[in-house]
Amino acid sequence: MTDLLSILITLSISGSLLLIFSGLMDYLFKRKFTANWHYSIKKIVLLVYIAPAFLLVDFLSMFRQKQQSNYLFTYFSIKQNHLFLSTNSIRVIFTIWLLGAVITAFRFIYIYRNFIKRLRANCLSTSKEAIAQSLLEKNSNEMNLTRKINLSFCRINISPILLGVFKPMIVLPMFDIPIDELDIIIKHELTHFKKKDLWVKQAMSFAMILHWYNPFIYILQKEINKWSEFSCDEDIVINMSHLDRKKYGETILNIMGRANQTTDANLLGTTFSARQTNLKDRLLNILNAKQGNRTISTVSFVIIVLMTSLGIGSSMLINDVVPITEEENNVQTSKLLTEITESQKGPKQKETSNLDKISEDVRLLEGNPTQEPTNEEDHEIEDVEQAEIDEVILVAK
Amino acid sequence: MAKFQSLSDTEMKVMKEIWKMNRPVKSNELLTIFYEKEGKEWKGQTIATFLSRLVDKGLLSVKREGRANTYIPRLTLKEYKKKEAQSMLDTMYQGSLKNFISTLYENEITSDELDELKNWFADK
Repeated sequence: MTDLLSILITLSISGSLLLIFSGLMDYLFKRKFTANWHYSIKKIVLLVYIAPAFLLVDFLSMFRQKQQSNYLFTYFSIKQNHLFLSTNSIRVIFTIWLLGAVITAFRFIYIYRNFIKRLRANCLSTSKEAIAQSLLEKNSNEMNLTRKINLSFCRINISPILLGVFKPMIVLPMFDIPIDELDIIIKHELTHFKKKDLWVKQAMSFAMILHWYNPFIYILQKEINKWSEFSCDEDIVINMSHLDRKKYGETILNIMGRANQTTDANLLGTTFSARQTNLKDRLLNILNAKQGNRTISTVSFVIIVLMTSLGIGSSMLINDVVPITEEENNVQTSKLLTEITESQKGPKQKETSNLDKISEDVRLLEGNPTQEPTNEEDHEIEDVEQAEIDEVILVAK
Repeated sequence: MAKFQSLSDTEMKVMKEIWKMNRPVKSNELLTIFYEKEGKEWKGQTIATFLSRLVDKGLLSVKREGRANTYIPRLTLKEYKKKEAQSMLDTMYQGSLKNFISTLYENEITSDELDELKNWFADK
Protein backbone atom coordinates (compact mmCIF):
# COMPACT_ATOMS: atom_id res chain seq x y z
CA MET A 1 0.00 0.00 0.00
CA THR A 2 2.74 2.42 0.94
CA ASP A 3 4.77 1.40 -2.05
CA LEU A 4 1.81 1.82 -4.33
CA LEU A 5 1.14 5.27 -2.97
CA SER A 6 4.78 6.15 -3.45
CA ILE A 7 4.76 5.02 -7.04
CA LEU A 8 1.52 6.85 -7.72
CA ILE A 9 2.82 10.12 -6.39
CA THR A 10 6.03 9.74 -8.36
CA LEU A 11 4.11 9.16 -11.57
CA SER A 12 1.84 12.08 -10.84
CA ILE A 13 4.60 14.55 -10.16
CA SER A 14 6.97 13.54 -12.93
CA GLY A 15 4.13 13.42 -15.45
CA SER A 16 2.95 16.87 -14.47
CA LEU A 17 6.45 18.33 -14.68
CA LEU A 18 6.92 16.83 -18.09
CA LEU A 19 3.57 18.19 -19.18
CA ILE A 20 4.66 21.69 -18.25
CA PHE A 21 7.90 21.17 -20.14
CA SER A 22 6.00 19.91 -23.16
CA GLY A 23 3.79 22.98 -22.99
CA LEU A 24 6.91 25.09 -23.25
CA MET A 25 8.09 23.02 -26.22
CA ASP A 26 4.72 23.42 -27.90
CA TYR A 27 4.86 27.16 -27.47
CA LEU A 28 8.43 27.54 -28.69
CA PHE A 29 8.09 25.30 -31.71
CA LYS A 30 4.47 25.84 -32.60
CA ARG A 31 4.78 26.57 -36.28
CA LYS A 32 8.13 24.96 -36.83
CA PHE A 33 7.36 21.32 -36.17
CA THR A 34 4.67 19.04 -37.47
CA ALA A 35 1.46 18.29 -35.63
CA ASN A 36 2.63 14.70 -35.43
CA TRP A 37 5.64 15.87 -33.45
CA HIS A 38 3.40 17.73 -30.99
CA TYR A 39 1.25 14.62 -30.74
CA SER A 40 4.31 12.46 -30.06
CA ILE A 41 5.56 14.59 -27.19
CA LYS A 42 2.13 14.50 -25.60
CA LYS A 43 2.12 10.75 -25.94
CA ILE A 44 5.47 10.63 -24.15
CA VAL A 45 3.98 12.65 -21.31
CA LEU A 46 1.11 10.17 -21.14
CA LEU A 47 3.57 7.31 -20.98
CA VAL A 48 5.39 8.92 -18.09
CA TYR A 49 2.09 9.23 -16.25
CA ILE A 50 1.40 5.54 -16.65
CA ALA A 51 4.63 3.61 -16.76
CA PRO A 52 6.90 3.54 -13.73
CA ALA A 53 10.11 3.83 -15.71
CA PHE A 54 12.13 4.13 -12.56
CA LEU A 55 11.13 0.62 -11.56
CA LEU A 56 12.65 -0.68 -14.72
CA VAL A 57 15.85 1.22 -14.05
CA ASP A 58 15.97 -0.05 -10.48
CA PHE A 59 15.44 -3.56 -11.73
CA LEU A 60 18.27 -3.23 -14.19
CA SER A 61 20.66 -1.70 -11.67
CA MET A 62 20.07 -4.59 -9.31
CA PHE A 63 22.19 -6.65 -11.62
CA ARG A 64 25.03 -4.22 -11.38
CA GLN A 65 25.74 -4.50 -7.66
CA LYS A 66 26.51 -0.84 -7.31
CA GLN A 67 25.57 -0.63 -3.67
CA GLN A 68 28.37 1.66 -2.56
CA SER A 69 27.52 4.57 -4.78
CA ASN A 70 23.81 4.39 -3.99
CA TYR A 71 24.57 4.24 -0.32
CA LEU A 72 25.35 7.87 0.27
CA PHE A 73 22.48 9.11 -1.81
CA THR A 74 20.09 6.85 0.05
CA TYR A 75 21.47 8.02 3.36
CA PHE A 76 20.81 11.64 2.55
CA SER A 77 17.38 11.00 1.26
CA ILE A 78 16.48 9.04 4.35
CA LYS A 79 17.85 11.70 6.64
CA GLN A 80 16.34 14.68 4.93
CA ASN A 81 13.60 14.03 2.46
CA HIS A 82 11.62 11.02 3.45
CA LEU A 83 8.01 11.74 3.99
CA PHE A 84 7.15 10.18 7.29
CA LEU A 85 3.51 9.39 7.64
CA SER A 86 1.71 7.37 10.23
CA THR A 87 0.17 4.11 9.11
CA ASN A 88 -3.26 5.53 9.70
CA SER A 89 -2.84 8.53 7.47
CA ILE A 90 -1.41 6.29 4.76
CA ARG A 91 -4.50 4.14 5.01
CA VAL A 92 -6.77 7.15 4.81
CA ILE A 93 -4.99 8.65 1.82
CA PHE A 94 -4.92 5.33 0.03
CA THR A 95 -8.63 4.74 0.63
CA ILE A 96 -9.52 8.18 -0.66
CA TRP A 97 -7.45 7.61 -3.77
CA LEU A 98 -8.97 4.18 -4.34
CA LEU A 99 -12.46 5.55 -3.93
CA GLY A 100 -11.82 8.32 -6.42
CA ALA A 101 -10.27 5.92 -8.91
CA VAL A 102 -13.14 3.47 -8.67
CA ILE A 103 -15.74 6.20 -9.03
CA THR A 104 -13.95 7.63 -12.07
CA ALA A 105 -13.68 4.19 -13.65
CA PHE A 106 -17.34 3.41 -13.11
CA ARG A 107 -18.36 6.78 -14.44
CA PHE A 108 -16.46 6.16 -17.65
CA ILE A 109 -17.94 2.71 -18.07
CA TYR A 110 -21.46 3.87 -17.32
CA ILE A 111 -21.38 6.83 -19.69
CA TYR A 112 -19.90 4.73 -22.49
CA ARG A 113 -22.36 1.88 -22.14
CA ASN A 114 -25.29 4.25 -21.93
CA PHE A 115 -24.14 5.93 -25.11
CA ILE A 116 -23.71 2.62 -26.94
CA LYS A 117 -27.19 1.57 -25.87
CA ARG A 118 -28.76 4.71 -27.27
CA LEU A 119 -26.68 4.47 -30.40
CA ARG A 120 -27.82 0.91 -31.00
CA ALA A 121 -31.43 1.94 -30.53
CA ASN A 122 -31.02 4.43 -33.35
CA CYS A 123 -28.77 2.59 -35.74
CA LEU A 124 -29.73 0.71 -38.85
CA SER A 125 -28.44 -0.44 -42.19
CA THR A 126 -29.88 1.09 -45.30
CA SER A 127 -29.35 0.96 -49.01
CA LYS A 128 -26.86 3.79 -48.70
CA GLU A 129 -24.58 1.23 -47.30
CA ALA A 130 -23.56 -0.05 -50.69
CA ILE A 131 -21.89 3.20 -51.67
CA ALA A 132 -20.32 3.83 -48.29
CA GLN A 133 -19.19 0.23 -48.09
CA SER A 134 -17.37 0.43 -51.39
CA LEU A 135 -15.70 3.66 -50.39
CA LEU A 136 -14.64 2.01 -47.15
CA GLU A 137 -13.09 -0.88 -48.99
CA LYS A 138 -11.35 1.33 -51.48
CA ASN A 139 -9.75 3.49 -48.83
CA SER A 140 -8.88 0.53 -46.63
CA ASN A 141 -6.96 -1.01 -49.48
CA GLU A 142 -5.20 2.24 -50.28
CA MET A 143 -4.04 2.51 -46.69
CA ASN A 144 -3.07 -1.15 -46.46
CA LEU A 145 -5.46 -1.89 -43.64
CA THR A 146 -6.31 -5.54 -43.19
CA ARG A 147 -8.78 -5.33 -40.33
CA LYS A 148 -12.46 -5.47 -41.18
CA ILE A 149 -14.22 -2.35 -40.07
CA ASN A 150 -17.99 -2.32 -39.73
CA LEU A 151 -20.22 0.43 -40.97
CA SER A 152 -23.45 1.68 -39.52
CA PHE A 153 -25.87 4.53 -39.99
CA CYS A 154 -27.51 6.55 -37.27
CA ARG A 155 -30.85 8.33 -37.40
CA ILE A 156 -29.55 11.16 -35.31
CA ASN A 157 -27.47 13.92 -36.85
CA ILE A 158 -24.26 13.09 -35.11
CA SER A 159 -20.73 13.69 -36.22
CA PRO A 160 -19.25 10.63 -37.93
CA ILE A 161 -17.68 8.44 -35.28
CA LEU A 162 -15.04 5.78 -35.04
CA LEU A 163 -15.48 3.54 -32.04
CA GLY A 164 -14.57 0.14 -30.67
CA VAL A 165 -11.01 -0.80 -29.84
CA PHE A 166 -11.57 -4.52 -30.42
CA LYS A 167 -14.42 -4.38 -32.90
CA PRO A 168 -13.86 -1.16 -34.80
CA MET A 169 -16.90 0.46 -36.33
CA ILE A 170 -17.62 3.66 -38.19
CA VAL A 171 -20.99 5.24 -37.52
CA LEU A 172 -22.29 7.77 -40.00
CA PRO A 173 -25.22 10.16 -39.71
CA MET A 174 -28.07 9.20 -41.93
CA PHE A 175 -28.77 12.29 -43.94
CA ASP A 176 -27.71 12.54 -47.56
CA ILE A 177 -23.99 12.94 -47.86
CA PRO A 178 -22.39 13.71 -51.22
CA ILE A 179 -19.92 11.06 -52.31
CA ASP A 180 -16.83 13.24 -52.16
CA GLU A 181 -17.66 14.25 -48.58
CA LEU A 182 -18.26 10.64 -47.69
CA ASP A 183 -14.86 9.77 -49.10
CA ILE A 184 -13.17 12.34 -46.89
CA ILE A 185 -15.10 11.24 -43.80
CA ILE A 186 -14.02 7.65 -44.31
CA LYS A 187 -10.41 8.65 -45.00
CA HIS A 188 -10.41 10.65 -41.77
CA GLU A 189 -11.80 7.88 -39.58
CA LEU A 190 -9.56 5.25 -41.16
CA THR A 191 -6.53 7.46 -40.52
CA HIS A 192 -7.48 7.61 -36.85
CA PHE A 193 -7.74 3.85 -36.90
CA LYS A 194 -4.40 3.43 -38.59
CA LYS A 195 -2.66 5.65 -36.05
CA LYS A 196 -4.22 3.61 -33.25
CA ASP A 197 -5.69 6.74 -31.73
CA LEU A 198 -8.36 4.76 -29.89
CA TRP A 199 -5.63 2.88 -28.05
CA VAL A 200 -4.03 6.17 -27.04
CA LYS A 201 -7.40 7.34 -25.77
CA GLN A 202 -7.80 4.17 -23.73
CA ALA A 203 -4.39 4.77 -22.19
CA MET A 204 -5.52 8.31 -21.47
CA SER A 205 -8.58 7.10 -19.58
CA PHE A 206 -6.38 4.74 -17.59
CA ALA A 207 -4.15 7.67 -16.66
CA MET A 208 -7.24 9.68 -15.70
CA ILE A 209 -8.40 6.91 -13.42
CA LEU A 210 -4.99 6.70 -11.74
CA HIS A 211 -4.52 10.44 -11.42
CA TRP A 212 -8.08 11.69 -11.04
CA TYR A 213 -6.99 14.12 -8.31
CA ASN A 214 -4.38 15.83 -10.48
CA PRO A 215 -5.68 18.82 -12.48
CA PHE A 216 -2.85 18.44 -15.00
CA ILE A 217 -4.22 15.16 -16.27
CA TYR A 218 -7.32 16.91 -17.55
CA ILE A 219 -5.14 19.41 -19.35
CA LEU A 220 -3.27 16.51 -20.91
CA GLN A 221 -6.54 14.99 -22.06
CA LYS A 222 -7.52 18.14 -23.88
CA GLU A 223 -4.09 18.49 -25.44
CA ILE A 224 -3.90 14.89 -26.58
CA ASN A 225 -7.33 15.05 -28.16
CA LYS A 226 -6.46 18.27 -29.94
CA TRP A 227 -3.16 17.03 -31.35
CA SER A 228 -4.59 13.66 -32.29
CA GLU A 229 -7.12 15.49 -34.45
CA PHE A 230 -4.54 17.87 -35.91
CA SER A 231 -2.07 15.13 -36.76
CA CYS A 232 -4.83 13.06 -38.36
CA ASP A 233 -5.69 16.04 -40.58
CA GLU A 234 -2.02 16.54 -41.28
CA ASP A 235 -1.48 12.98 -42.44
CA ILE A 236 -4.34 13.33 -44.87
CA VAL A 237 -3.45 16.70 -46.39
CA ILE A 238 0.33 16.62 -46.28
CA ASN A 239 0.66 15.72 -49.93
CA MET A 240 -2.26 17.80 -51.12
CA SER A 241 -2.14 21.07 -53.00
CA HIS A 242 -3.39 24.25 -51.38
CA LEU A 243 -6.58 23.97 -53.36
CA ASP A 244 -7.24 20.42 -52.26
CA ARG A 245 -6.56 21.37 -48.68
CA LYS A 246 -9.12 24.12 -48.95
CA LYS A 247 -11.56 21.58 -50.25
CA TYR A 248 -10.82 19.32 -47.29
CA GLY A 249 -11.39 22.14 -44.81
CA GLU A 250 -14.58 23.22 -46.55
CA THR A 251 -15.82 19.65 -46.44
CA ILE A 252 -15.45 19.55 -42.70
CA LEU A 253 -17.34 22.84 -42.40
CA ASN A 254 -20.06 21.55 -44.72
CA ILE A 255 -20.48 18.35 -42.73
CA MET A 256 -20.82 20.40 -39.58
CA GLY A 257 -23.33 22.61 -41.31
CA ARG A 258 -25.48 19.70 -42.47
CA ALA A 259 -25.66 18.29 -38.98
CA ASN A 260 -26.47 21.62 -37.51
CA GLN A 261 -29.68 21.91 -35.61
CA THR A 262 -28.45 23.70 -32.60
CA THR A 263 -29.10 27.12 -31.22
CA ASP A 264 -26.92 29.02 -28.80
CA ALA A 265 -28.94 27.85 -25.83
CA ASN A 266 -28.04 24.24 -26.40
CA LEU A 267 -24.33 24.67 -26.52
CA LEU A 268 -23.13 24.34 -22.98
CA GLY A 269 -19.66 24.16 -21.67
CA THR A 270 -17.67 26.14 -24.19
CA THR A 271 -17.81 29.81 -25.08
CA PHE A 272 -18.47 31.33 -28.49
CA SER A 273 -14.90 32.41 -28.98
CA ALA A 274 -13.39 29.15 -27.72
CA ARG A 275 -15.32 27.12 -30.26
CA GLN A 276 -14.35 29.39 -33.08
CA THR A 277 -10.71 29.51 -32.05
CA ASN A 278 -10.42 25.74 -31.89
CA LEU A 279 -11.87 25.36 -35.32
CA LYS A 280 -9.82 28.21 -36.75
CA ASP A 281 -6.64 26.65 -35.39
CA ARG A 282 -7.59 23.39 -36.96
CA LEU A 283 -8.29 24.93 -40.35
CA LEU A 284 -5.06 26.90 -40.30
CA ASN A 285 -3.17 23.74 -39.41
CA ILE A 286 -4.72 22.04 -42.43
CA LEU A 287 -3.60 24.79 -44.73
CA ASN A 288 -0.13 25.23 -43.29
CA ALA A 289 0.93 21.65 -42.64
CA LYS A 290 4.29 20.97 -44.16
CA GLN A 291 6.81 18.22 -44.28
CA GLY A 292 9.94 19.04 -42.31
CA ASN A 293 13.37 19.22 -43.92
CA ARG A 294 16.45 17.43 -42.64
CA THR A 295 17.35 20.01 -40.00
CA ILE A 296 13.86 20.11 -38.63
CA SER A 297 13.66 16.34 -38.50
CA THR A 298 16.94 16.06 -36.61
CA VAL A 299 16.18 18.82 -34.12
CA SER A 300 12.67 17.55 -33.49
CA PHE A 301 13.96 14.04 -32.98
CA VAL A 302 16.60 15.29 -30.55
CA ILE A 303 13.93 17.08 -28.56
CA ILE A 304 11.88 13.91 -28.40
CA VAL A 305 14.85 11.96 -27.08
CA LEU A 306 15.49 14.76 -24.61
CA MET A 307 11.94 14.64 -23.38
CA THR A 308 11.98 10.90 -22.98
CA SER A 309 15.16 10.99 -20.93
CA LEU A 310 13.84 13.90 -18.89
CA GLY A 311 10.75 11.88 -18.22
CA ILE A 312 12.66 8.82 -17.06
CA GLY A 313 15.22 10.90 -15.21
CA SER A 314 12.75 13.01 -13.32
CA SER A 315 10.69 10.02 -12.31
CA MET A 316 13.83 8.36 -10.98
CA LEU A 317 14.85 11.46 -9.10
CA ILE A 318 11.45 12.02 -7.59
CA ASN A 319 11.21 8.39 -6.65
CA ASP A 320 14.39 8.69 -4.64
CA VAL A 321 13.57 12.01 -3.07
CA VAL A 322 9.96 11.63 -2.04
CA PRO A 323 9.34 8.12 -0.88
CA ILE A 324 6.86 7.61 1.89
CA THR A 325 7.72 5.63 4.96
CA GLU A 326 5.42 4.21 7.50
CA GLU A 327 6.06 5.46 10.97
CA GLU A 328 5.09 3.74 14.18
CA ASN A 329 5.28 6.30 16.93
CA ASN A 330 8.46 5.56 18.85
CA VAL A 331 10.33 3.51 16.36
CA GLN A 332 11.32 6.31 14.01
CA THR A 333 14.98 6.46 14.94
CA SER A 334 15.36 2.74 15.02
CA LYS A 335 13.82 2.52 11.58
CA LEU A 336 16.43 4.96 10.36
CA LEU A 337 19.10 2.77 11.82
CA THR A 338 17.64 -0.35 10.29
CA GLU A 339 17.56 1.22 6.86
CA ILE A 340 21.10 2.48 7.06
CA THR A 341 22.55 -0.82 8.15
CA GLU A 342 20.45 -2.67 5.66
CA SER A 343 21.64 -0.67 2.73
CA GLN A 344 25.13 -1.33 3.98
CA LYS A 345 24.55 -5.03 3.97
CA GLY A 346 22.98 -5.32 0.59
CA PRO A 347 19.57 -5.99 -0.98
CA LYS A 348 18.35 -8.59 1.45
CA GLN A 349 14.74 -8.93 2.45
CA LYS A 350 13.56 -7.82 5.88
CA GLU A 351 12.58 -10.94 7.71
CA THR A 352 12.83 -10.23 11.40
CA SER A 353 10.93 -7.61 13.28
CA ASN A 354 12.36 -4.16 13.88
CA LEU A 355 13.32 -4.59 17.50
CA ASP A 356 15.10 -7.85 16.84
CA LYS A 357 16.96 -6.12 14.07
CA ILE A 358 18.05 -3.35 16.36
CA SER A 359 19.45 -5.65 19.00
CA GLU A 360 21.18 -7.69 16.36
CA ASP A 361 22.71 -4.62 14.81
CA VAL A 362 23.80 -3.22 18.15
CA ARG A 363 25.56 -6.48 18.85
CA LEU A 364 27.19 -6.46 15.46
CA LEU A 365 28.46 -2.94 15.71
CA GLU A 366 29.67 -3.26 19.25
CA GLY A 367 31.22 -6.63 18.60
CA ASN A 368 32.45 -7.73 15.21
CA PRO A 369 31.59 -5.39 12.41
CA THR A 370 30.47 -7.22 9.27
CA GLN A 371 32.20 -4.85 6.93
CA GLU A 372 35.49 -3.04 7.17
CA PRO A 373 35.02 0.59 6.29
CA THR A 374 36.94 1.15 3.10
CA ASN A 375 36.92 4.89 2.80
CA GLU A 376 36.39 8.12 4.64
CA GLU A 377 32.73 8.39 3.90
CA ASP A 378 32.10 5.12 5.61
CA HIS A 379 34.05 6.26 8.65
CA GLU A 380 31.96 9.35 9.00
CA ILE A 381 28.78 7.43 8.65
CA GLU A 382 29.90 4.88 11.17
CA ASP A 383 30.39 7.63 13.74
CA VAL A 384 26.92 8.91 13.15
CA GLU A 385 25.58 5.39 13.37
CA GLN A 386 27.28 4.90 16.70
CA ALA A 387 25.66 8.08 18.00
CA GLU A 388 22.29 6.93 16.80
CA ILE A 389 22.71 3.50 18.28
CA ASP A 390 23.44 5.15 21.62
CA GLU A 391 20.26 7.12 21.21
CA VAL A 392 18.30 3.99 20.46
CA ILE A 393 19.69 2.20 23.46
CA LEU A 394 18.69 5.16 25.60
CA VAL A 395 15.20 5.14 24.15
CA ALA A 396 14.84 1.41 24.58
CA LYS A 397 15.84 1.64 28.20
CA MET B 1 -35.22 21.86 -17.47
CA ALA B 2 -35.23 18.30 -16.26
CA LYS B 3 -32.49 16.07 -17.56
CA PHE B 4 -33.57 13.97 -20.49
CA GLN B 5 -34.28 10.36 -19.68
CA SER B 6 -34.69 7.83 -22.41
CA LEU B 7 -37.53 5.31 -22.34
CA SER B 8 -37.37 1.60 -21.83
CA ASP B 9 -38.74 -0.68 -24.54
CA THR B 10 -42.08 -1.19 -22.84
CA GLU B 11 -42.46 2.45 -21.95
CA MET B 12 -41.81 3.23 -25.59
CA LYS B 13 -44.52 0.78 -26.66
CA VAL B 14 -47.03 2.41 -24.34
CA MET B 15 -46.13 5.88 -25.57
CA LYS B 16 -46.41 4.82 -29.18
CA GLU B 17 -50.00 3.71 -28.60
CA ILE B 18 -50.81 6.95 -26.87
CA TRP B 19 -49.25 8.92 -29.72
CA LYS B 20 -51.28 6.91 -32.19
CA MET B 21 -54.50 7.85 -30.48
CA ASN B 22 -53.40 11.43 -30.25
CA ARG B 23 -55.67 12.28 -27.33
CA PRO B 24 -55.82 11.93 -23.56
CA VAL B 25 -56.27 8.31 -22.50
CA LYS B 26 -57.44 6.40 -19.50
CA SER B 27 -55.48 3.48 -18.16
CA ASN B 28 -58.22 0.93 -18.81
CA GLU B 29 -58.26 1.88 -22.47
CA LEU B 30 -54.62 1.00 -22.70
CA LEU B 31 -55.23 -2.32 -20.98
CA THR B 32 -57.75 -3.22 -23.65
CA ILE B 33 -55.47 -2.16 -26.46
CA PHE B 34 -52.55 -4.18 -25.25
CA TYR B 35 -54.69 -7.20 -24.61
CA GLU B 36 -56.14 -7.05 -28.12
CA LYS B 37 -52.89 -6.29 -29.86
CA GLU B 38 -50.41 -8.48 -28.12
CA GLY B 39 -52.48 -10.74 -25.89
CA LYS B 40 -50.82 -9.17 -22.89
CA GLU B 41 -53.00 -9.41 -19.84
CA TRP B 42 -51.55 -6.66 -17.78
CA LYS B 43 -52.86 -5.92 -14.39
CA GLY B 44 -54.19 -2.47 -13.57
CA GLN B 45 -51.26 -2.02 -11.25
CA THR B 46 -48.71 -2.78 -13.94
CA ILE B 47 -50.04 -0.27 -16.40
CA ALA B 48 -50.38 2.29 -13.62
CA THR B 49 -46.68 1.90 -12.80
CA PHE B 50 -45.63 2.43 -16.38
CA LEU B 51 -47.89 5.45 -16.71
CA SER B 52 -46.63 7.07 -13.54
CA ARG B 53 -43.03 6.53 -14.70
CA LEU B 54 -43.89 8.26 -17.95
CA VAL B 55 -45.32 11.13 -15.97
CA ASP B 56 -42.08 11.32 -13.98
CA LYS B 57 -40.08 11.42 -17.17
CA GLY B 58 -42.09 14.36 -18.36
CA LEU B 59 -43.85 12.68 -21.27
CA LEU B 60 -47.33 12.61 -19.81
CA SER B 61 -49.29 14.74 -17.44
CA VAL B 62 -51.98 13.22 -15.30
CA LYS B 63 -55.45 14.43 -14.41
CA ARG B 64 -56.74 12.69 -11.36
CA GLU B 65 -60.41 11.81 -11.72
CA GLY B 66 -61.46 9.71 -8.83
CA ARG B 67 -60.56 6.09 -9.55
CA ALA B 68 -59.59 6.36 -13.18
CA ASN B 69 -56.90 8.87 -14.11
CA THR B 70 -56.59 10.50 -17.49
CA TYR B 71 -53.18 10.80 -19.05
CA ILE B 72 -52.31 13.55 -21.49
CA PRO B 73 -49.27 13.47 -23.73
CA ARG B 74 -46.98 16.45 -23.17
CA LEU B 75 -44.68 15.94 -26.13
CA THR B 76 -45.36 14.84 -29.65
CA LEU B 77 -43.34 11.99 -31.09
CA LYS B 78 -41.34 14.47 -33.13
CA GLU B 79 -40.53 16.60 -30.12
CA TYR B 80 -39.46 13.56 -28.19
CA LYS B 81 -37.16 12.42 -30.97
CA LYS B 82 -35.63 15.85 -31.13
CA LYS B 83 -34.96 15.89 -27.40
CA GLU B 84 -33.46 12.45 -27.56
CA ALA B 85 -31.20 13.49 -30.39
CA GLN B 86 -30.05 16.60 -28.61
CA SER B 87 -29.36 14.67 -25.46
CA MET B 88 -27.23 12.20 -27.36
CA LEU B 89 -25.29 14.99 -29.00
CA ASP B 90 -24.70 16.60 -25.64
CA THR B 91 -23.26 13.37 -24.32
CA MET B 92 -21.13 12.85 -27.36
CA TYR B 93 -19.10 15.97 -26.92
CA GLN B 94 -18.64 15.44 -23.22
CA GLY B 95 -15.15 14.98 -21.90
CA SER B 96 -15.73 11.53 -20.50
CA LEU B 97 -16.94 10.05 -23.75
CA LYS B 98 -14.12 11.53 -25.79
CA ASN B 99 -11.82 8.85 -24.46
CA PHE B 100 -13.80 6.15 -26.14
CA ILE B 101 -14.82 7.53 -29.49
CA SER B 102 -13.14 9.46 -32.24
CA THR B 103 -15.30 12.10 -33.90
CA LEU B 104 -14.80 14.11 -37.05
CA TYR B 105 -15.29 17.37 -35.22
CA GLU B 106 -14.84 18.14 -31.58
CA ASN B 107 -17.86 20.20 -30.67
CA GLU B 108 -20.89 21.77 -32.14
CA ILE B 109 -21.13 25.28 -33.36
CA THR B 110 -23.99 27.68 -34.06
CA SER B 111 -25.07 28.45 -37.60
CA ASP B 112 -23.88 32.03 -37.28
CA GLU B 113 -20.42 31.03 -36.16
CA LEU B 114 -20.28 28.51 -38.98
CA ASP B 115 -21.13 31.10 -41.61
CA GLU B 116 -18.53 33.44 -40.21
CA LEU B 117 -15.94 30.73 -40.36
CA LYS B 118 -16.86 29.76 -43.90
CA ASN B 119 -16.41 33.32 -45.04
CA TRP B 120 -13.14 33.67 -43.21
CA PHE B 121 -11.85 30.41 -44.64
CA ALA B 122 -12.88 31.24 -48.17
CA ASP B 123 -10.35 34.05 -48.26
CA LYS B 124 -7.40 31.96 -47.09
